[in-house]
Amino acid sequence: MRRAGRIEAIGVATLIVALAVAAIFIAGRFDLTAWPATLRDYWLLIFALATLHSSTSVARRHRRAVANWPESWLAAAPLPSASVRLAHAIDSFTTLVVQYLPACFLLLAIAAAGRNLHAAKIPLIALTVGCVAGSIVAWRWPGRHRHETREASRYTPSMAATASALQPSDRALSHWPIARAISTGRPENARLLFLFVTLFAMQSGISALEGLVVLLLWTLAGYLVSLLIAVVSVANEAARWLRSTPLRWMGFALPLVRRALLHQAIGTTIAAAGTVATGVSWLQALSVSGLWLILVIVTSSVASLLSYRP
Amino acid sequence: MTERVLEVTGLHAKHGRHPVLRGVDLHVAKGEWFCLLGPNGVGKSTLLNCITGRMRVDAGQVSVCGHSMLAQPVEAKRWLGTACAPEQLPGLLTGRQCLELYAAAKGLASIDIELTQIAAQLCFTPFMDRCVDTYSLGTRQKLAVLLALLGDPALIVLDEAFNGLDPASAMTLKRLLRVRLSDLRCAVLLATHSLDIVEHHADTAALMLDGRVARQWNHTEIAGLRSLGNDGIEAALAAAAGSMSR
Repeated sequence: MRRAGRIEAIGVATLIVALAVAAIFIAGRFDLTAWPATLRDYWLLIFALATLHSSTSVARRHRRAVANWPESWLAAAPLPSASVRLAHAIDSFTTLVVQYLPACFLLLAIAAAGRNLHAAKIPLIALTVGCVAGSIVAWRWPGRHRHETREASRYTPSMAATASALQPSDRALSHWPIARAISTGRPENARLLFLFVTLFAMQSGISALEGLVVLLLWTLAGYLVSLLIAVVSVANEAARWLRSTPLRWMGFALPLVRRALLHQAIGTTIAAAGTVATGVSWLQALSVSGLWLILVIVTSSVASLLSYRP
Repeated sequence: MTERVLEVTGLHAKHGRHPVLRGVDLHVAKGEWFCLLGPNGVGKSTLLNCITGRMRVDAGQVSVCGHSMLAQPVEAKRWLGTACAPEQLPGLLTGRQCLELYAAAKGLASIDIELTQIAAQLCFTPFMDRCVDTYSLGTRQKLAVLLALLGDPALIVLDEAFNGLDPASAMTLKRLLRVRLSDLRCAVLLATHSLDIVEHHADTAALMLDGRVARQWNHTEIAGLRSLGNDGIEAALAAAAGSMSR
């Protein structure tokens, strides 16, 4: 494990242990002993959150471990592949285990303070099954690392040359803001925020379904906002790069916003449907969605107009 | 070498309030390899940016194939092929996406098979479907050069385009440009610090100092300097720079 990663893991573990100790102390003073029983009603939410957190956390570490392996000082050693896999597994799962154990300890400690250990059973099972399911998924399908493909050298043979025909196309300009939004605001970076959002949602006493909708809305809102910011920054970057070409404004602005607008429209529709599912009226959902889409269109148009120069 | 591809007259440009170009005059004819020399910070890249329309001009004229870059920028840019600085390439796109998008921006109906062959000669093909972010400096430089060659431009503008290229790729590129020049398909304007290129390939060279063209050598003069031996061009540059500073 990298030094920074280890420090991060130790930091998180220390924080959770400190929280657990504080929880035992507070549970004695304030009545938090009913929490495990409350959490029992939210088992689906706990399961979803644990799955999401473990899958993103393990997948990221697994990708990094695999990508960094060729640079390891042991890369050229005749190690059996099982040992290498084990090393990757330790690297990928340690942080999750370090987070999982104190979380269980925290839950059991609060339940023990209320002399009702039985109440912690269902939340613990949901947490464990979620972590295991997420870990299996992340280990099996870790996703592609951006720097996975390395440049050819005399040690690493080059990939087969792919010289398929090139065709002029502005599709790349449409994909660019999406790629920027995903690269700057990766969903896995928001997983700790998910936890806080869920906790706040639970504090207000809403149902598990509503909690999941809150999670969905949070994810969508994060993506849509980062997509809008990406359109603005890509407009600047693309205009500067393409300034020495005879590209006209319409040829620049339309491809730039086309796909981003489609994503915004789909995302806003899903968000509107989600809010309606939680009891908001159609009219309110539509008016907020409409306002957001107008803001997106105006911002995108102004950004492309300001950055473009013939 | 009579048809003028590029004409620059009395060009002034500023970075903020700081004047960088103070009345540059130069012209490049079809089939001519024009090298722009000079110490760092004298305005070579600024001049190229003004010629390619990347930077606003304060005074003077830039004309590409008879079209003014100020009055008819879209028409003038149709004839241009520019290799941007490697760090300006979009890191999130692949080489293929960059080429296809640039071709679309230039309004090309198709991409000539010759470009694919050049990519293969420069050993760029295996990198075609990888993100630019993962490229080394040399690979980025190759992509920038390929972008400059798209659409058979009449004027190819290169800013330190040989920096970072491996010797084999540099040689391939020089040969490619030479063939295009000898067929009178284009002119090349190259800003460089490499005197080797001036010695072996340039038809005209200009020394820029303090935002102006301080001294210019034509084909005959460069041939004369070449005959002086290894240090001929270096000595001529030093002498020109010295006489300007006195």
